[in-house]
Amino acid sequence: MIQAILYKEWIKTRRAVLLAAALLAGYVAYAAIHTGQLFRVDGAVATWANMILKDAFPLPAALRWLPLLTGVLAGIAQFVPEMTNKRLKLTLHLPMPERRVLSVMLLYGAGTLVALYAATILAAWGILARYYPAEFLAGFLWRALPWFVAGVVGYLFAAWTCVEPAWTRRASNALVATGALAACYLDAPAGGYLPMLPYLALLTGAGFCLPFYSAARFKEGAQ
Amino acid sequence: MENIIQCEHVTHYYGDRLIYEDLNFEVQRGKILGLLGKNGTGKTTIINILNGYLKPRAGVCRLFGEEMSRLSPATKARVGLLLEGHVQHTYFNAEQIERFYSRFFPHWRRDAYHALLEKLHVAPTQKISTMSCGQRSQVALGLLFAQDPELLVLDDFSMGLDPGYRRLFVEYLKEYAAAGQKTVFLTSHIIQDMEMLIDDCIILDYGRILLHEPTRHILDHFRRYRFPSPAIGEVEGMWHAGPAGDHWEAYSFLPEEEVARRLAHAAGELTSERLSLEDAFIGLTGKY
Repeated sequence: MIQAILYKEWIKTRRAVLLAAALLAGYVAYAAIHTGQLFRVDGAVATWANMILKDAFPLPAALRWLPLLTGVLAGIAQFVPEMTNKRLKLTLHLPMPERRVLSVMLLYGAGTLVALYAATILAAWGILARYYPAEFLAGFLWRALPWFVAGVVGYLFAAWTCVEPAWTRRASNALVATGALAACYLDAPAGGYLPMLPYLALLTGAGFCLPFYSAARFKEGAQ
Repeated sequence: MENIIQCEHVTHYYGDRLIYEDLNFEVQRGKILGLLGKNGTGKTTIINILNGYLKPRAGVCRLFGEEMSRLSPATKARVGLLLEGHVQHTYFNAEQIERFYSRFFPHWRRDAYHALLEKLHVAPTQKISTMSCGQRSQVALGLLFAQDPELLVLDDFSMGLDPGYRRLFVEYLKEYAAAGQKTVFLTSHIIQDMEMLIDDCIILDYGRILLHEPTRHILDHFRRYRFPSPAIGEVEGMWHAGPAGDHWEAYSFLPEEEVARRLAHAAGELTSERLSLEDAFIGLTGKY
Protein backbone atom coordinates (compact mmCIF):
# COMPACT_ATOMS: atom_id res chain seq x y z
CA MET A 1 0.00 0.00 0.00
CA ILE A 2 2.85 2.36 0.81
CA GLN A 3 4.31 1.63 -2.62
CA ALA A 4 0.96 2.53 -4.19
CA ILE A 5 0.91 5.89 -2.37
CA LEU A 6 4.47 6.56 -3.50
CA TYR A 7 3.45 5.66 -7.07
CA LYS A 8 0.53 8.12 -6.90
CA GLU A 9 2.74 10.88 -5.54
CA TRP A 10 5.33 10.27 -8.24
CA ILE A 11 2.78 10.36 -11.05
CA LYS A 12 1.31 13.55 -9.61
CA THR A 13 4.56 15.39 -8.96
CA ARG A 14 6.97 14.00 -11.52
CA ARG A 15 6.91 17.12 -13.71
CA ALA A 16 7.52 19.37 -10.71
CA VAL A 17 10.29 17.06 -9.44
CA LEU A 18 11.95 17.04 -12.86
CA LEU A 19 11.64 20.83 -13.04
CA ALA A 20 13.22 21.15 -9.58
CA ALA A 21 16.00 18.75 -10.63
CA ALA A 22 16.57 20.77 -13.81
CA LEU A 23 16.75 24.03 -11.84
CA LEU A 24 19.25 22.59 -9.37
CA ALA A 25 21.30 20.95 -12.16
CA GLY A 26 21.28 24.25 -14.04
CA TYR A 27 22.49 25.99 -10.93
CA VAL A 28 25.35 23.50 -10.48
CA ALA A 29 26.38 23.99 -14.12
CA TYR A 30 26.26 27.75 -13.68
CA ALA A 31 28.26 27.48 -10.42
CA ALA A 32 30.92 25.44 -12.25
CA ILE A 33 31.24 28.08 -14.98
CA HIS A 34 31.16 30.92 -12.44
CA THR A 35 33.91 29.38 -10.26
CA GLY A 36 36.13 28.61 -13.23
CA GLN A 37 35.69 32.16 -14.51
CA LEU A 38 36.48 33.59 -11.05
CA PHE A 39 39.77 31.73 -10.90
CA ARG A 40 40.68 32.56 -14.50
CA VAL A 41 39.88 36.29 -14.26
CA ASP A 42 40.83 37.15 -10.66
CA GLY A 43 43.42 34.41 -10.14
CA ALA A 44 43.59 31.86 -7.32
CA VAL A 45 45.36 34.13 -4.83
CA ALA A 46 42.86 37.00 -5.05
CA THR A 47 39.92 34.62 -4.96
CA TRP A 48 41.24 32.73 -1.95
CA ALA A 49 42.05 36.00 -0.17
CA ASN A 50 38.53 37.19 -0.83
CA MET A 51 37.12 34.00 0.68
CA ILE A 52 39.36 34.05 3.74
CA LEU A 53 39.57 37.77 4.53
CA LYS A 54 36.14 38.94 3.45
CA ASP A 55 34.26 35.78 4.40
CA ALA A 56 32.77 35.64 0.88
CA PHE A 57 30.66 32.76 -0.32
CA PRO A 58 32.08 30.96 -3.35
CA LEU A 59 28.84 30.16 -5.15
CA PRO A 60 26.33 32.41 -6.97
CA ALA A 61 23.80 34.05 -4.63
CA ALA A 62 20.81 32.22 -6.13
CA LEU A 63 21.65 29.30 -3.84
CA ARG A 64 20.00 31.19 -0.98
CA TRP A 65 16.58 30.98 -2.60
CA LEU A 66 16.71 28.03 -4.96
CA PRO A 67 16.04 25.30 -2.35
CA LEU A 68 13.11 27.29 -0.94
CA LEU A 69 11.70 27.81 -4.43
CA THR A 70 11.94 24.10 -5.24
CA GLY A 71 10.49 23.14 -1.84
CA VAL A 72 7.44 25.39 -2.22
CA LEU A 73 7.03 24.19 -5.81
CA ALA A 74 7.03 20.56 -4.65
CA GLY A 75 4.51 21.31 -1.90
CA ILE A 76 2.15 23.07 -4.29
CA ALA A 77 2.51 20.37 -6.97
CA GLN A 78 1.75 17.66 -4.45
CA PHE A 79 -1.08 19.16 -2.41
CA VAL A 80 -2.97 21.56 -4.67
CA PRO A 81 -4.27 18.61 -6.78
CA GLU A 82 -5.39 16.94 -3.53
CA MET A 83 -7.45 19.98 -2.58
CA THR A 84 -8.85 20.56 -6.07
CA ASN A 85 -12.42 19.24 -5.95
CA LYS A 86 -11.55 18.01 -2.45
CA ARG A 87 -9.82 14.92 -3.80
CA LEU A 88 -8.18 14.53 -0.42
CA LYS A 89 -11.43 12.78 0.53
CA LEU A 90 -10.51 9.99 -1.90
CA THR A 91 -7.02 9.77 -0.47
CA LEU A 92 -8.26 9.67 3.12
CA HIS A 93 -10.87 7.08 2.17
CA LEU A 94 -8.14 4.59 1.22
CA PRO A 95 -8.13 1.54 3.51
CA MET A 96 -5.05 2.62 5.39
CA PRO A 97 -4.72 4.67 8.61
CA GLU A 98 -5.13 8.31 7.65
CA ARG A 99 -2.05 9.46 9.53
CA ARG A 100 0.03 6.86 7.76
CA VAL A 101 -1.27 8.00 4.37
CA LEU A 102 -0.36 11.60 5.11
CA SER A 103 2.99 10.62 6.64
CA VAL A 104 3.92 8.66 3.51
CA MET A 105 2.93 11.61 1.32
CA LEU A 106 5.00 14.06 3.36
CA LEU A 107 7.97 11.70 3.61
CA TYR A 108 7.84 11.22 -0.16
CA GLY A 109 8.01 14.98 -0.72
CA ALA A 110 10.62 15.69 1.95
CA GLY A 111 12.66 12.63 0.92
CA THR A 112 12.64 13.64 -2.75
CA LEU A 113 13.83 17.13 -1.86
CA VAL A 114 16.56 15.82 0.44
CA ALA A 115 17.74 13.52 -2.37
CA LEU A 116 17.78 16.41 -4.84
CA TYR A 117 19.59 18.69 -2.39
CA ALA A 118 22.10 15.97 -1.51
CA ALA A 119 22.83 15.43 -5.22
CA THR A 120 23.24 19.20 -5.65
CA ILE A 121 25.61 19.45 -2.69
CA LEU A 122 27.65 16.46 -3.88
CA ALA A 123 27.91 17.82 -7.41
CA ALA A 124 28.86 21.30 -6.15
CA TRP A 125 31.40 19.75 -3.75
CA GLY A 126 32.92 17.76 -6.61
CA ILE A 127 33.32 20.89 -8.70
CA LEU A 128 34.57 23.16 -5.91
CA ALA A 129 36.99 20.49 -4.65
CA ARG A 130 39.12 21.28 -7.72
CA TYR A 131 39.59 24.84 -6.43
CA TYR A 132 39.23 24.79 -2.63
CA PRO A 133 40.49 22.57 0.20
CA ALA A 134 38.05 20.36 2.11
CA GLU A 135 38.14 22.63 5.21
CA PHE A 136 36.87 25.53 3.11
CA LEU A 137 34.18 23.40 1.57
CA ALA A 138 32.96 22.14 4.95
CA GLY A 139 32.62 25.77 6.07
CA PHE A 140 30.68 26.66 2.90
CA LEU A 141 28.41 23.68 3.46
CA TRP A 142 27.57 24.74 7.02
CA ARG A 143 26.70 28.18 5.71
CA ALA A 144 24.47 26.82 2.97
CA LEU A 145 22.77 24.20 5.14
CA PRO A 146 20.06 26.55 6.55
CA TRP A 147 19.02 27.38 2.97
CA PHE A 148 18.51 23.71 2.21
CA VAL A 149 16.65 23.31 5.50
CA ALA A 150 14.48 26.22 4.31
CA GLY A 151 13.67 24.17 1.20
CA VAL A 152 12.37 21.23 3.26
CA VAL A 153 10.58 23.46 5.79
CA GLY A 154 9.13 25.53 2.94
CA TYR A 155 7.77 22.32 1.42
CA LEU A 156 6.17 21.28 4.73
CA PHE A 157 4.70 24.74 5.27
CA ALA A 158 3.36 24.75 1.69
CA ALA A 159 1.69 21.39 2.44
CA TRP A 160 0.25 22.81 5.68
CA THR A 161 -1.12 25.85 3.86
CA CYS A 162 -2.55 23.88 0.92
CA VAL A 163 -4.28 21.24 3.05
CA GLU A 164 -5.90 23.88 5.26
CA PRO A 165 -9.53 24.05 4.10
CA ALA A 166 -10.34 27.70 4.98
CA TRP A 167 -8.94 30.52 2.83
CA THR A 168 -8.53 32.92 5.75
CA ARG A 169 -6.48 30.35 7.63
CA ARG A 170 -4.47 29.64 4.50
CA ALA A 171 -3.47 33.30 4.41
CA SER A 172 -2.51 33.31 8.09
CA ASN A 173 -0.62 30.02 7.67
CA ALA A 174 1.35 31.55 4.78
CA LEU A 175 2.23 34.55 6.95
CA VAL A 176 3.36 32.36 9.86
CA ALA A 177 5.36 30.24 7.42
CA THR A 178 7.09 33.33 5.99
CA GLY A 179 8.00 34.51 9.49
CA ALA A 180 9.31 31.09 10.52
CA LEU A 181 11.34 30.69 7.34
CA ALA A 182 13.08 34.00 8.05
CA ALA A 183 14.99 32.05 10.73
CA CYS A 184 16.85 30.31 7.91
CA TYR A 185 17.97 33.58 6.30
CA LEU A 186 19.68 35.47 9.11
CA ASP A 187 22.97 37.03 8.03
CA ALA A 188 25.73 35.21 9.84
CA PRO A 189 29.46 34.77 9.33
CA ALA A 190 30.85 31.34 8.47
CA GLY A 191 30.00 28.99 11.35
CA GLY A 192 27.63 31.51 12.88
CA TYR A 193 24.61 29.32 12.20
CA LEU A 194 25.91 26.27 14.04
CA PRO A 195 24.12 27.06 17.35
CA MET A 196 20.87 27.55 15.37
CA LEU A 197 20.87 24.12 13.79
CA PRO A 198 18.98 22.35 16.65
CA TYR A 199 16.28 25.03 16.38
CA LEU A 200 16.08 24.51 12.64
CA ALA A 201 15.64 20.79 13.32
CA LEU A 202 12.78 21.68 15.69
CA LEU A 203 11.28 23.92 13.01
CA THR A 204 11.42 21.02 10.56
CA GLY A 205 9.73 18.73 13.09
CA ALA A 206 6.98 21.30 13.67
CA GLY A 207 6.60 21.71 9.91
CA PHE A 208 6.04 17.95 9.59
CA CYS A 209 3.29 17.96 12.25
CA LEU A 210 1.30 20.97 11.02
CA PRO A 211 -0.24 19.36 7.88
CA PHE A 212 -1.87 16.76 10.17
CA TYR A 213 -3.66 19.58 11.97
CA SER A 214 -4.91 20.98 8.63
CA ALA A 215 -6.02 17.49 7.57
CA ALA A 216 -7.97 17.09 10.83
CA ARG A 217 -9.70 20.43 10.13
CA PHE A 218 -10.44 19.25 6.58
CA LYS A 219 -12.04 16.10 7.98
CA GLU A 220 -14.21 18.10 10.33
CA GLY A 221 -15.45 20.12 7.38
CA ALA A 222 -14.00 23.43 8.60
CA GLN A 223 -14.79 26.28 6.22
CA MET B 1 -31.86 -7.47 9.10
CA GLU B 2 -28.45 -5.88 9.68
CA ASN B 3 -28.26 -2.09 9.53
CA ILE B 4 -25.38 -1.03 7.30
CA ILE B 5 -25.96 2.69 7.78
CA GLN B 6 -27.38 4.30 10.90
CA CYS B 7 -27.81 7.99 11.51
CA GLU B 8 -29.07 9.06 14.92
CA HIS B 9 -30.20 12.51 16.00
CA VAL B 10 -28.04 14.32 13.46
CA THR B 11 -28.30 18.08 13.68
CA HIS B 12 -26.22 20.33 11.52
CA TYR B 13 -25.93 24.02 10.75
CA TYR B 14 -23.81 25.99 8.29
CA GLY B 15 -23.27 29.14 10.32
CA ASP B 16 -26.75 30.06 11.50
CA ARG B 17 -28.52 28.17 8.71
CA LEU B 18 -30.17 24.98 9.86
CA ILE B 19 -29.55 22.03 7.55
CA TYR B 20 -31.11 19.25 9.66
CA GLU B 21 -32.58 18.94 13.07
CA ASP B 22 -32.66 15.52 14.72
CA LEU B 23 -32.27 13.49 11.53
CA ASN B 24 -32.70 9.74 12.02
CA PHE B 25 -32.61 6.96 9.47
CA GLU B 26 -31.21 3.50 8.81
CA VAL B 27 -30.34 1.54 5.70
CA GLN B 28 -30.52 -2.23 5.86
CA ARG B 29 -28.24 -4.66 4.10
CA GLY B 30 -29.19 -5.33 0.49
CA LYS B 31 -31.28 -2.19 0.07
CA ILE B 32 -30.82 0.55 -2.50
CA LEU B 33 -31.80 3.79 -0.86
CA GLY B 34 -32.16 7.05 -2.76
CA LEU B 35 -31.87 10.37 -1.03
CA LEU B 36 -33.93 12.99 -2.83
CA GLY B 37 -34.23 16.64 -2.09
CA LYS B 38 -34.18 20.04 -3.68
CA ASN B 39 -30.96 21.98 -3.99
CA GLY B 40 -29.65 23.04 -0.61
CA THR B 41 -31.51 20.46 1.47
CA GLY B 42 -28.23 18.82 2.48
CA LYS B 43 -27.91 15.67 0.37
CA THR B 44 -24.16 16.03 -0.12
CA THR B 45 -23.86 17.16 3.49
CA ILE B 46 -25.26 13.87 4.76
CA ILE B 47 -22.85 11.95 2.51
CA ASN B 48 -19.98 13.98 3.92
CA ILE B 49 -21.16 13.29 7.46
CA LEU B 50 -21.58 9.57 6.73
CA ASN B 51 -18.03 9.24 5.47
CA GLY B 52 -16.51 11.28 8.27
CA TYR B 53 -15.76 14.39 6.20
CA LEU B 54 -17.97 16.70 8.19
CA LYS B 55 -18.57 16.83 11.91
CA PRO B 56 -22.24 17.51 12.61
CA ARG B 57 -23.18 19.81 15.44
CA ALA B 58 -24.89 16.89 17.16
CA GLY B 59 -25.65 13.24 16.53
CA VAL B 60 -23.77 10.31 15.13
CA CYS B 61 -23.72 8.17 11.99
CA ARG B 62 -22.38 4.64 11.81
CA LEU B 63 -21.25 2.53 8.86
CA PHE B 64 -21.12 -1.19 9.62
CA GLY B 65 -21.49 -0.22 13.28
CA GLU B 66 -18.42 2.05 13.32
CA GLU B 67 -18.68 5.71 14.14
CA MET B 68 -18.19 7.88 11.06
CA SER B 69 -15.26 9.91 12.37
CA ARG B 70 -13.28 6.79 13.28
CA LEU B 71 -13.79 4.39 10.40
CA SER B 72 -11.16 1.67 10.44
CA PRO B 73 -9.22 0.80 7.25
CA ALA B 74 -11.07 -2.53 7.14
CA THR B 75 -14.43 -0.76 7.11
CA LYS B 76 -13.27 1.75 4.51
CA ALA B 77 -12.34 -1.18 2.28
CA ARG B 78 -16.00 -2.26 2.47
CA VAL B 79 -17.28 1.14 1.34
CA GLY B 80 -17.08 2.37 -2.26
CA LEU B 81 -17.34 6.15 -2.42
CA LEU B 82 -18.27 8.19 -5.48
CA LEU B 83 -17.86 11.93 -4.97
CA GLU B 84 -20.11 14.48 -6.64
CA GLY B 85 -18.95 15.12 -10.22
CA HIS B 86 -17.18 11.73 -10.46
CA VAL B 87 -14.11 13.32 -8.96
CA GLN B 88 -10.99 11.20 -9.37
CA HIS B 89 -7.25 11.69 -9.43
CA THR B 90 -7.06 13.26 -12.88
CA TYR B 91 -3.26 13.15 -13.16
CA PHE B 92 -3.49 9.39 -13.71
CA ASN B 93 -4.40 7.73 -16.96
CA ALA B 94 -6.97 4.93 -17.07
CA GLU B 95 -4.39 2.19 -16.60
CA GLN B 96 -2.39 3.93 -13.89
CA ILE B 97 -5.40 4.62 -11.69
CA GLU B 98 -6.41 0.94 -11.83
CA ARG B 99 -2.87 -0.07 -10.88
CA PHE B 100 -2.94 2.39 -7.98
CA TYR B 101 -6.25 1.29 -6.46
CA SER B 102 -5.67 -2.43 -7.03
CA ARG B 103 -2.97 -2.46 -4.34
CA PHE B 104 -5.46 -1.54 -1.62
CA PHE B 105 -8.15 -4.15 -2.11
CA PRO B 106 -7.49 -7.88 -1.78
CA HIS B 107 -10.46 -8.95 -3.94
CA TRP B 108 -9.77 -6.48 -6.73
CA ARG B 109 -11.62 -7.42 -9.96
CA ARG B 110 -9.37 -6.08 -12.66
CA ASP B 111 -11.50 -7.62 -15.40
CA ALA B 112 -14.62 -5.74 -14.31
CA TYR B 113 -12.79 -2.44 -14.70
CA HIS B 114 -11.23 -3.21 -18.07
CA ALA B 115 -14.46 -4.67 -19.47
CA LEU B 116 -16.24 -1.40 -18.75
CA LEU B 117 -13.46 0.70 -20.31
CA GLU B 118 -13.37 -1.49 -23.40
CA LYS B 119 -17.09 -1.17 -23.83
CA LEU B 120 -16.76 2.61 -23.87
CA HIS B 121 -13.64 2.69 -26.03
CA VAL B 122 -11.51 4.35 -23.39
CA ALA B 123 -7.84 3.78 -24.22
CA PRO B 124 -5.77 2.56 -21.24
CA THR B 125 -3.30 5.38 -21.78
CA GLN B 126 -5.94 8.11 -21.94
CA LYS B 127 -5.44 10.65 -19.19
CA ILE B 128 -8.44 11.13 -16.93
CA SER B 129 -8.09 14.91 -17.17
CA THR B 130 -8.76 14.70 -20.93
CA MET B 131 -11.84 12.49 -20.61
CA SER B 132 -15.41 13.62 -21.06
CA CYS B 133 -17.68 13.66 -18.04
CA GLY B 134 -19.30 10.44 -19.27
CA GLN B 135 -15.99 8.64 -19.70
CA ARG B 136 -14.83 9.83 -16.30
CA SER B 137 -18.03 8.51 -14.76
CA GLN B 138 -17.32 5.09 -16.25
CA VAL B 139 -13.78 5.10 -14.91
CA ALA B 140 -15.17 5.92 -11.46
CA LEU B 141 -17.85 3.25 -11.80
CA GLY B 142 -15.34 0.69 -13.09
CA LEU B 143 -13.09 1.35 -10.10
CA LEU B 144 -16.01 0.87 -7.73
CA PHE B 145 -17.00 -2.42 -9.37
CA ALA B 146 -13.41 -3.63 -9.31
CA GLN B 147 -13.23 -2.79 -5.61
CA ASP B 148 -16.42 -4.85 -5.12
CA PRO B 149 -17.49 -3.10 -1.89
CA GLU B 150 -20.41 -4.18 0.27
CA LEU B 151 -21.71 -0.63 0.46
CA LEU B 152 -21.73 1.93 -2.34
CA VAL B 153 -22.18 5.59 -1.46
CA LEU B 154 -22.83 7.63 -4.59
CA ASP B 155 -23.18 11.39 -4.49
CA ASP B 156 -25.17 12.73 -7.45
CA PHE B 157 -24.04 9.93 -9.75
CA SER B 158 -25.98 11.29 -12.74
CA MET B 159 -24.45 14.76 -12.63
CA GLY B 160 -23.26 15.86 -16.06
CA LEU B 161 -24.16 12.58 -17.79
CA ASP B 162 -26.15 12.31 -20.99
CA PRO B 163 -29.17 9.93 -21.04
CA GLY B 164 -27.13 7.09 -22.53
CA TYR B 165 -24.44 7.18 -19.87
CA ARG B 166 -27.07 7.62 -17.14
CA ARG B 167 -28.95 4.58 -18.33
CA LEU B 168 -25.74 2.57 -18.55
CA PHE B 169 -24.76 3.63 -15.04
CA VAL B 170 -28.17 2.64 -13.68
CA GLU B 171 -28.17 -0.74 -15.43
CA TYR B 172 -24.73 -1.60 -14.14
CA LEU B 173 -25.69 -0.52 -10.65
CA LYS B 174 -28.86 -2.61 -10.67
CA GLU B 175 -26.96 -5.65 -11.83
CA TYR B 176 -24.25 -5.09 -9.25
CA ALA B 177 -26.67 -4.63 -6.37
CA ALA B 178 -28.75 -7.65 -7.33
CA ALA B 179 -25.73 -9.92 -7.67
CA GLY B 180 -24.56 -10.02 -4.08
CA GLN B 181 -26.69 -8.44 -1.37
CA LYS B 182 -24.96 -5.11 -1.87
CA THR B 183 -26.21 -1.98 -0.19
CA VAL B 184 -26.35 1.29 -2.12
CA PHE B 185 -26.94 4.77 -0.76
CA LEU B 186 -27.22 7.38 -3.48
CA THR B 187 -28.34 10.85 -4.36
CA SER B 188 -29.27 12.22 -7.75
CA HIS B 189 -31.10 15.15 -9.25
CA ILE B 190 -32.45 12.96 -12.04
CA ILE B 191 -35.32 11.28 -10.29
CA GLN B 192 -36.48 9.25 -13.28
CA ASP B 193 -33.20 7.30 -12.99
CA MET B 194 -33.85 6.65 -9.32
CA GLU B 195 -37.30 5.24 -10.04
CA MET B 196 -35.74 2.36 -11.97
CA LEU B 197 -33.22 1.68 -9.26
CA ILE B 198 -34.11 2.38 -5.66
CA ASP B 199 -35.99 0.22 -3.16
CA ASP B 200 -36.42 2.90 -0.54
CA CYS B 201 -36.63 6.62 -0.77
CA ILE B 202 -35.85 9.41 1.66
CA ILE B 203 -37.16 12.80 0.63
CA LEU B 204 -35.46 15.66 2.40
CA ASP B 205 -37.09 18.97 3.02
CA TYR B 206 -35.27 21.97 4.44
CA GLY B 207 -34.20 20.88 7.92
CA ARG B 208 -35.93 17.50 8.12
CA ILE B 209 -36.90 14.22 6.49
CA LEU B 210 -40.21 14.70 4.73
CA LEU B 211 -40.74 11.07 3.91
CA HIS B 212 -38.93 7.74 4.25
CA GLU B 213 -40.86 5.00 2.49
CA PRO B 214 -40.35 2.14 0.05
CA THR B 215 -40.44 3.48 -3.50
CA ARG B 216 -43.15 0.98 -4.39
CA HIS B 217 -45.38 2.37 -1.65
CA ILE B 218 -45.01 5.90 -3.02
CA LEU B 219 -45.69 4.82 -6.60
CA ASP B 220 -48.71 2.72 -5.60
CA HIS B 221 -50.38 5.06 -3.17
CA PHE B 222 -49.37 8.65 -3.78
CA ARG B 223 -51.80 10.28 -6.23
CA ARG B 224 -52.51 13.60 -7.79
CA TYR B 225 -56.13 14.65 -7.45
CA ARG B 226 -57.77 17.24 -9.69
CA PHE B 227 -61.00 18.88 -8.72
CA PRO B 228 -63.06 21.79 -10.00
CA SER B 229 -63.14 24.17 -7.04
CA PRO B 230 -60.61 24.98 -4.36
CA ALA B 231 -60.31 23.11 -1.11
CA ILE B 232 -61.41 25.16 1.84
CA GLY B 233 -58.27 25.97 3.85
CA GLU B 234 -55.69 23.39 4.85
CA VAL B 235 -56.87 19.80 4.51
CA GLU B 236 -55.13 17.15 6.55
CA GLY B 237 -53.47 14.48 4.45
CA MET B 238 -53.40 16.65 1.32
CA TRP B 239 -50.17 18.13 0.00
CA HIS B 240 -49.61 21.31 -1.98
CA ALA B 241 -53.16 22.10 -3.04
CA GLY B 242 -53.17 24.82 -5.68
CA PRO B 243 -54.68 26.00 -8.95
CA ALA B 244 -53.67 24.26 -12.19
CA GLY B 245 -55.38 25.85 -15.17
CA ASP B 246 -59.14 25.86 -14.70
CA HIS B 247 -58.94 23.19 -12.01
CA TRP B 248 -57.27 22.71 -8.68
CA GLU B 249 -54.96 19.93 -7.79
CA ALA B 250 -53.56 18.38 -4.64
CA TYR B 251 -51.49 15.32 -3.77
CA SER B 252 -52.26 12.65 -1.23
CA PHE B 253 -51.58 9.12 -0.02
CA LEU B 254 -55.26 8.82 0.90
CA PRO B 255 -57.69 6.72 -1.18
CA GLU B 256 -60.03 8.55 -3.54
CA GLU B 257 -63.14 8.13 -1.35
CA GLU B 258 -61.37 9.59 1.64
CA VAL B 259 -60.03 12.52 -0.39
CA ALA B 260 -63.54 13.21 -1.70
CA ARG B 261 -64.89 13.16 1.83
CA ARG B 262 -62.22 15.51 3.16
CA LEU B 263 -62.58 17.93 0.26
CA ALA B 264 -66.35 17.80 0.56
CA HIS B 265 -66.62 17.01 -3.14
CA ALA B 266 -68.54 14.27 -4.83
CA ALA B 267 -66.20 11.45 -5.82
CA GLY B 268 -67.24 11.93 -9.44
CA GLU B 269 -65.83 15.45 -9.50
CA LEU B 270 -62.39 14.15 -8.58
CA THR B 271 -59.92 12.64 -10.96
CA SER B 272 -56.93 10.79 -9.59
CA GLU B 273 -53.65 10.07 -11.38
CA ARG B 274 -50.85 7.64 -10.67
CA LEU B 275 -47.53 9.41 -10.54
CA SER B 276 -43.97 8.84 -11.56
CA LEU B 277 -41.44 9.24 -8.76
CA GLU B 278 -40.48 12.63 -10.16
CA ASP B 279 -44.09 13.85 -10.08
CA ALA B 280 -44.48 12.39 -6.60
CA PHE B 281 -41.37 14.28 -5.54
CA ILE B 282 -42.81 17.53 -6.89
CA GLY B 283 -46.10 16.74 -5.18
CA LEU B 284 -44.38 16.21 -1.87
CA THR B 285 -41.90 19.06 -1.94
CA GLY B 286 -43.72 21.64 -4.08
CA LYS B 287 -42.53 23.15 -7.33
CA TYR B 288 -40.38 25.87 -5.81
